[in-house]
Amino acid sequence: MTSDAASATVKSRSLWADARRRLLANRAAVASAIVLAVIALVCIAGPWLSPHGYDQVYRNYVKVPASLAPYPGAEAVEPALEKALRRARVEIEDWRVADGRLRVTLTADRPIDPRITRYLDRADLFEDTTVADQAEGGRRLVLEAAIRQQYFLFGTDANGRDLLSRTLIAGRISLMIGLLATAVALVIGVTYGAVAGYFGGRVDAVMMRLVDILYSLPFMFFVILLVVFFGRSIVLMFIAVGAVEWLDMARIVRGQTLSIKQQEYVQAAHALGVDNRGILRRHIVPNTLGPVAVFMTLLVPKVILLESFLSFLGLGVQEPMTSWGVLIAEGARNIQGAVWMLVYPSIFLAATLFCLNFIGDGLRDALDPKDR
Amino acid sequence: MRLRRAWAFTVGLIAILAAGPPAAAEMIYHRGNNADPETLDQHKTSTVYEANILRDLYEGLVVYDPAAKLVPGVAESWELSDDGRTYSFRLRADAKWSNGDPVNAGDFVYSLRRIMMPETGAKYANVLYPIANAEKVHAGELATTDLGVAALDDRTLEITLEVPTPFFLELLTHQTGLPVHPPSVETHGPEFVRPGNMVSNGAYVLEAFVPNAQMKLTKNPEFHDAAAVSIDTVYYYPTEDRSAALRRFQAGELHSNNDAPVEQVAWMKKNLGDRFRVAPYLGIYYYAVNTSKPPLSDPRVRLALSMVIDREFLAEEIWGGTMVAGYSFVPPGIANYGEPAIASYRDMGMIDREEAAVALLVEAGFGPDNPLEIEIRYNTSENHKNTALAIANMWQPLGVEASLLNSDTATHYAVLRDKGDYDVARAGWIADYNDPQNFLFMVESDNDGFNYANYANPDYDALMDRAAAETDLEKRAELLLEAETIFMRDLPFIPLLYYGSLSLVSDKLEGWQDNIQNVHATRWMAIRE
Amino acid sequence: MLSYALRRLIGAIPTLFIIVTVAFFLIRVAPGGPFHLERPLDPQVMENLLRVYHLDKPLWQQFLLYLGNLLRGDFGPSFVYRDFSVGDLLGSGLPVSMQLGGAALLLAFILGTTLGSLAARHQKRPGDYGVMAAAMIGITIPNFVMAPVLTLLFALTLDWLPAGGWGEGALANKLLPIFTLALPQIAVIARLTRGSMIEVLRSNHVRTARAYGLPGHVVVIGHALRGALLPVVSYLGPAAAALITGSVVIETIFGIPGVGRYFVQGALNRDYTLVMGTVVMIATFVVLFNLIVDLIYALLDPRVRYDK
Repeated sequence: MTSDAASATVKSRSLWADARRRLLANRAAVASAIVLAVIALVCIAGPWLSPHGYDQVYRNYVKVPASLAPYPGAEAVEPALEKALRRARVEIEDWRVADGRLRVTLTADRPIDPRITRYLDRADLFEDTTVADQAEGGRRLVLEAAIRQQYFLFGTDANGRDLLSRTLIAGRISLMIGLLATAVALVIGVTYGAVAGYFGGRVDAVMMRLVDILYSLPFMFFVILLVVFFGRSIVLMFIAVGAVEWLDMARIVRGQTLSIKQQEYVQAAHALGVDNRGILRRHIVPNTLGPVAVFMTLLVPKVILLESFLSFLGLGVQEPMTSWGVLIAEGARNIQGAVWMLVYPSIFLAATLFCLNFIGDGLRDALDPKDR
Repeated sequence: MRLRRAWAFTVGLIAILAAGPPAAAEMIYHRGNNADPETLDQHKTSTVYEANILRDLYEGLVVYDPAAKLVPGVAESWELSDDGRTYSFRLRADAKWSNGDPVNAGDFVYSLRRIMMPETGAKYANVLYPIANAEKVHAGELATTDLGVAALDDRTLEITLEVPTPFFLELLTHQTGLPVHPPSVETHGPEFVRPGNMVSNGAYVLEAFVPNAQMKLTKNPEFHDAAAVSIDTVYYYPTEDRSAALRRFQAGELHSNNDAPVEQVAWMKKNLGDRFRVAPYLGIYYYAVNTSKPPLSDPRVRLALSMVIDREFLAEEIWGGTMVAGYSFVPPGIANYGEPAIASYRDMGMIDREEAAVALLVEAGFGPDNPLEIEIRYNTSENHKNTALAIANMWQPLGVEASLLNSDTATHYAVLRDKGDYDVARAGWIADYNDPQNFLFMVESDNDGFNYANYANPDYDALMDRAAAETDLEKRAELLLEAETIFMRDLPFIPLLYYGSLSLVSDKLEGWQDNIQNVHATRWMAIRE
Repeated sequence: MLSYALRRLIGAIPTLFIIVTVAFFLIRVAPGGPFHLERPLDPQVMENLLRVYHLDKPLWQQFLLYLGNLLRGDFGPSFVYRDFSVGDLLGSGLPVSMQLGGAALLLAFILGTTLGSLAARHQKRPGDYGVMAAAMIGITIPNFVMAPVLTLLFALTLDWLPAGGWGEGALANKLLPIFTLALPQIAVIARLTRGSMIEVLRSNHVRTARAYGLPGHVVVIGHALRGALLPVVSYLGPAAAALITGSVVIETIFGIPGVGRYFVQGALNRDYTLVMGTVVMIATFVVLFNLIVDLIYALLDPRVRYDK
């Protein structure tokens, strides 16, 4: 038999190819991956496509509810008009809205400066204000303005910023942190835990005591010091978050390793003369990945919410940039007054986490060697 | 027949008379107080939350009535010498401590000496510095016996001042002026504040204290005005989370709370009506400007920055109407003062203000090709953040590139106190006593602790010194007004908003009057179910 | 096993020492101090305060003073809560936090492992998806959202429970906090249990038990659970330490006099002695629980050996 014929009849499958095949067959996982990709895409592209900047302040639209109908509503015109002209020392004699245009008559004791149109333009509701008519030597002025229709699909926040744009741009930060910080924690934690569990004895004792020490130190101070020494940046956030989260991961992997290393196949590999590194890489670590995958899906929400806690301390995203954790924290404070501030970012976060959940489960199922 | 009816009537009458009046139910008041006291030792105290509790436990020489007007406390009358430097207080005969001891002048002498002792570590000793030699005693340069207080006899207390101080009586209402019971302090040392050890002379005594949970005060039968005190028991709860406090209030678990969540003002106004109170409060919310750092050292830049801030927007939209737009540094309505120095641009239209501001900046050398870069610092809080965001937005038309920096409270104030590097930083000040000097003294050049702006103006200092020595109240007010005018011209601090106090007050609580000092002693209140 | 435990406990002492030393110097480096708070203090007042609390002495001297006191069991006075020593504060708060945390832990463990096992047995069927969806909700909703929502529901709308306060330890006051504390843990434990239970259910000894005809629940509880619990127990070690020392969010929102808030408040107020006290406390718990967890590993999986 030639080698070609031999390789044509039996094609070896690596563990990873096997896992990938199984993962792709898992419909829930695939669907979740697609949804997650969509969310990521929307968060990346959305802020550019949105008519509102994520930091654009609309002073007339502070904390307005989510609505499919355009703003302003009919009842918002009069108060906005009065506010806009509050210090202009004029009397509003009469105003009227027709066909999306405003017509207002103003009177005063002295001739009105025609530049008063700028005050109306300043308001977010009106634009292209012009002087339509004047009488009595300028003491009576008729202004016309177009009413600017705007959509705030998710409503606005306490500063009058569009919540949809903010939710999307927040997604960039949260997804980036959630995935990257978790990846960092994963790599460090798995390596550390596997080594500690595998070598056991003194090595294990020392390594785990180090974990204990790091665990006991006051996290808050560690964070405060990071800010002091390195200023604030997103990179630092990864460091701070990763530095804390790898500890749990290491511990879980170590526990798994302790039991795996007694398995027959590990002993067999020893007998075959595989070196420690090889055993760790090919036997121990891949078999810990089941619980690791599951724990990862638990880690991501923790990381995202931890980020909001860090912002509370001044490390993390600075305003006007934001993240889902920060938006949700703000929303929680406004449950009884502006519940949309909580609901929409929560929906995005929940959807992301659900997807990660199914993907994690899919990974676990795919990596399970006994699932045939 | 008639006899039987008369007999029945008599029996009935006797029965009714013998039964007596219906037994009065114990009146319990559940009071939310925002935070646990750091200490119940009035000489170590510093916060408003402690003041509320101490005011119930102890009575000073003078006290506030429900409307925050000064009325006699332990002192039934007093006289001021002609040179304005010596007060002579006549104490009541019936003032007693809760263990029956009479309150006498020696107790006040002991107390005032104790707060000035350096070893006590009093956080607010400087409030009483107007007393002769107080500052030197506190610095350890003189013995406590050199302090300007003396007990001429058991019922006469004499206090001598460094200089005539028109607001001295107000100072005595501060919690630092409350007396301690000397034998208790001598016996128990710092533990005298524990329930069981504490002997107090106010309307209530301390019965129990579980940190972070609640504090229980019960009526003091030895209090000279005990007959007029209606509430038998007060529970103080530390309600740090304002939203949670609102929920407890709605559930009827709290009769009052001395703050409310600002985010829910619209909801509260709509659903709580009169149970949600907003009252003017003597304090100012401002931005400190680092006048020693260019370009902020240029007063034109500071004026431009101040002019374009729409304070009405901040007060109404960001703070939900719980603050008032502030165009002067001293809030209006303060005692010993007339109309404060109001900024000239208050009545100008915003667009005119912006034009003037841009012109000022151009004069100072800033424009589109040389934008002004400013970093706004604030300590962590939703409202501080929203205010800073709004102001950064208001500075945009001037071409200012503003960035925001949020830090925790300790770091924030460490930077300010230790003359760190900052541009503009948020700060607030609530008056200790009802007098404009308590606001204007902050930027005196020798005032290290408070002068965040590093402002040094010899004319200003001279005016403040002259005002301190002036006994005629009207002339003094004029001098202070001149100083404030200089302040508003130079703007070492940019005043933004006058504080308002928020309270949640149940319908069942009687006697709570909104006042400018936000003081509400339990002795004046009652619960009607 | 006993000698192992003893060795670990003795080995914990240098660990604690290192923790105390690192923490002591770590917290001093942060800017600001216990007296740098919102109300500015007069400079003379500040000087006096620093002297009274020995904060004006050189740092190494303060450290030695602190160590000396610590060895005698004295954690020092709190710099911010000036009427109390740190020992008082921790002593009064710890029992409360332990009550809540312990109850939450127990609830989470029982419910979590039960739900996780159920889900594993019905893998990829509606029961599995249902349980896991519910678990996800528990993890996704942060506790500072869950607490007000539950309060609004149970206290204000239904009026079954008080909205807050400790009420001197009444059961009604404890229910909401315990449940809010437990909820995310139930979710985590359920997921971890399911994950490892699925693996274990396919292992040889479980298959053997099934082949013998043993009923399902006996198989699960008697044979599968031991192996499945390993990752759960690993997770529980530090989780227990964290739960028992209280949750700052829950305690603040519900007004519970526990020690959780001291972790955050102490740091924010720069109350050095209080922070050190909490560090020592949590270090002790962490070391203790990790030892317990390691001992439990050996119990659950007899192949695990520590003596080498």
